[in-house]
Amino acid sequence: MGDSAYSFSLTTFSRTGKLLQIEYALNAVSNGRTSLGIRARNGVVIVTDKKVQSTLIDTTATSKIESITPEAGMVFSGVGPDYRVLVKRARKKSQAYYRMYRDKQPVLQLVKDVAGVMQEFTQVS
Amino acid sequence: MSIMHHTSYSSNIKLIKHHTLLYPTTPPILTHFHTHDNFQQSGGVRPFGVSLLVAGYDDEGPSLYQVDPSGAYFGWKATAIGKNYVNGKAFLEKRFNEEMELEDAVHTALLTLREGFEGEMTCDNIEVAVVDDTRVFRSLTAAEIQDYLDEAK
Repeated sequence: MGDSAYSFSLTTFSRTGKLLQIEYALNAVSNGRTSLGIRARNGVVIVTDKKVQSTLIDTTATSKIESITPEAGMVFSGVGPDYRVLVKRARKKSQAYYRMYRDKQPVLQLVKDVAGVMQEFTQVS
Repeated sequence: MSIMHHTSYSSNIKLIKHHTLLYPTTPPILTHFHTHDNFQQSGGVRPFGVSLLVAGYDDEGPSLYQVDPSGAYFGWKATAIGKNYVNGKAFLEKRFNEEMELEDAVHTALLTLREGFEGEMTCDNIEVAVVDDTRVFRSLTAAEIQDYLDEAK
């Protein structure tokens, strides 16, 4: 916690016990392009809509699906720039795991790490 | 040459400087060696405006997770997020079965996406990635996506 005037969490409980900022974030997600995934018996598929406003945009220049470890990757719905931060963090975490254990980070651990970062931003200033 | 590295514990070694490599416009995995620096948490001003779907294949087999802005996460057999996710999930509930192979899953995924899609789906306006039992996560090329789309017609 810093000493600045903003060193309180902006995600504050409402009187009814709701975290409104999180609900608004979820609204941002449900306004975002659709993504979906299916776990099959022998693998997983994720797909996403990446429609853009103009036909002049080069859609090959950006990608929404990113790999994190050689055997895991992710996609998002919502605010694109926020996603980049999470991708960077996730890769860094899994790289730290590799440095420590010389092995690929299990998917659930990766998920917990990213979820931890997301939780942090709802509470830590 | 090593005398030129004025580094101490946990400081950043500037790899790029000492290489003749040109830095590509899409940063490679090299960037991830820049660890330890400025990584003290400073944010928390607002939650992330994204939900994630994480797909992977490890010792536990294939798995699919969703992570929400609150930090909550869920494991799914099949799910949808973003615009129209309610319809997408309802569609998936009808179509999903436990014995599904990856090939079928790709088709079902594309069918589901098409349900709520405004306009025509092409290999340029969607992205698809798979991870199978070889445990290699990869995005499909435009040509591969086009093949799946053609089959679905």
